[in-house]
Amino acid sequence: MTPRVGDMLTYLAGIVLAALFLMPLLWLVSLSLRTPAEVYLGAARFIPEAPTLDNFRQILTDGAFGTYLWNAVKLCALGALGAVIVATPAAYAASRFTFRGKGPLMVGILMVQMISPLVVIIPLYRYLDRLGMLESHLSVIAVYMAIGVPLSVWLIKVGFDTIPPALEEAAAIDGCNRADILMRITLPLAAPALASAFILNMIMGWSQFLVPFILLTRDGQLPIAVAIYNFAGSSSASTTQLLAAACLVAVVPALAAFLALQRLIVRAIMAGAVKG
Amino acid sequence: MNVTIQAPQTAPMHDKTPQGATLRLRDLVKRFASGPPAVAGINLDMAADEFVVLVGPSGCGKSTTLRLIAGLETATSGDIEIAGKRVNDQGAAQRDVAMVFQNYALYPHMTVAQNIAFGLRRRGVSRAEAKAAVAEAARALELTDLMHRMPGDLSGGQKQRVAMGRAIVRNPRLFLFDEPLSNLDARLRLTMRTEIKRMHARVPTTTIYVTHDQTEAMTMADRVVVMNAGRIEQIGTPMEIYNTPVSRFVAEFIGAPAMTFADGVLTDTALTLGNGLRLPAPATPHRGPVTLGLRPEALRLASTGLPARLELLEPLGAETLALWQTDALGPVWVRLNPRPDLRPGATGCLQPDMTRAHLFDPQTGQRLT
Repeated sequence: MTPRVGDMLTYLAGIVLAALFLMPLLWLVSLSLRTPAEVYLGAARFIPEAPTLDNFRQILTDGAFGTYLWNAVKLCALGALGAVIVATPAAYAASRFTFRGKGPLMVGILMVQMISPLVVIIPLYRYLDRLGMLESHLSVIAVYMAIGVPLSVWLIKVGFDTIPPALEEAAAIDGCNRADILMRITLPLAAPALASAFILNMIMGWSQFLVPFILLTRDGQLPIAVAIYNFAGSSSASTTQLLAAACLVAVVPALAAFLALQRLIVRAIMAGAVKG
Repeated sequence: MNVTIQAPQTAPMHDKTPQGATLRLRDLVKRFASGPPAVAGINLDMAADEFVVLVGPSGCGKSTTLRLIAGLETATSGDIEIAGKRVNDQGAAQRDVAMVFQNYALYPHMTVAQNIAFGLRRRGVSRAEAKAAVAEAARALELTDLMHRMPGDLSGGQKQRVAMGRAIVRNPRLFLFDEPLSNLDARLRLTMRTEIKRMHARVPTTTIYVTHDQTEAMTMADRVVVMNAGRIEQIGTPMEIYNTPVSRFVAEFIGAPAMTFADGVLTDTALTLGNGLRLPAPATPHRGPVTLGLRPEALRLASTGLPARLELLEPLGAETLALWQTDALGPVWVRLNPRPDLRPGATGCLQPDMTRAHLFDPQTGQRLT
């Protein structure tokens, strides 16, 4: 196979894959721009005859929708922040200290990442119920943190690994204690890794459905993903276009964040993969 | 690039009181988790403002010794005293030493000015005082135009000067250099070598300089410490080390081109080499098996002597080094005048000057007197 044919096949595979993910999104865009009457025309009206932004206007002026959106931002941001705060000292220790059982411990941390929340959600529910923490944002944030910590530890550890220990030694000789060194040298230099971990956790939290769905029931506490699901379940086809608009508004922040910061994320993930 | 480092104006230029502290190492041992100790009980006394170079092959413990003195490693046993005070229990921050690292270790997120000021600010010097001191150091190191640059935008030589600026600005009690020139190109290395030495002459501070480059050791040191396998092989002035190496290891390590060695037996009348060649006996009471060591300047071309064939010439300008192949000694280096009338393949005789010969015990490698 000539390189040219290989390139073409690569592009073809890329296009197929992109179509697989883009089609539902485009379908959502199409639906969200239609009038209620056009919704029934299905695929025949992929490009609406009279595109309207009314659906978005209706969604964005709805007070409840704003609350759901805010709830989602709050849960994700605090969950992501908590995960990064908890993961940072662990990552520092993993990067800088040698101790017995470090290898198995790091693999163990990664294995936690492989446990789906689905598997532990029932014991988790009973557990939080016993603690009286159901119906509380705090419990959801705590679970988001727990979900985010393993990946964050690894990501931030790799970030720390790329910082030469000589910089910390130079700072020690310059008169810094360990806390000073961490605050003034190591953390500022690990900022790309910290930011990437935060953003990845935000995105993971944003797409989280099961945890808030099980742990929260009061309407005013729900994040956007659960609220949309509840709305879809309780409404008829006449509100499909509104649902589509709501979904888009819910998806766009995560997409925007990822697109804007993908370089940063890729750099953090790739750090240490090649010799710097 | 020709860089001239001027001493900071604030430092007293002709003050007789020493700037630096004395340093004393007593039975210093550093053992890492596995293997033999990295530093196996070394003793060293340094006078204030002395310039000592630790030299030795990779893994000989020289960098570990420096890191122990800096407080970056904890000694397994033994004492480190700075200015007569035991500092084993003090962290790097408390020891008031400055260090220039091999890879410079500049803080990449700070400007040159912030890099130099960092240590001062951490030690509670006011912003205004720090600014003045940094400006002074920058002037001394010709860094004034680079003050707002980030380390990533600097060349190797500039980084090196910033690292030096960061060290000198604090007026530390001890200056530690960990192979600071090994990342520079040959020409800049030569310039910086001179400048570090000149700097030390103008602003004397007790200085410990680690290198694996024996030329750096010879040219810079007041005293050279040759290390091998965690121990000190020899301490002495560069000429003492060169002229009277205490062991075959030191003789081999110091001096370029290297000393030539040959085993033989010493009797009252002659030194007989392995292949039966008899040389005049050097003046020594020792008798029996010996290892003969000859530096390139201890051999000269003559009409009689060891038959040799010229293998190659290395013209260095001021002199020419010639590698001769001999039956008696194997390959030997000889220093010749700049333009010898010789071509590779030529044959001749080499006459050893036995008054300049070195003798070592073949078993222990120790010098025989």
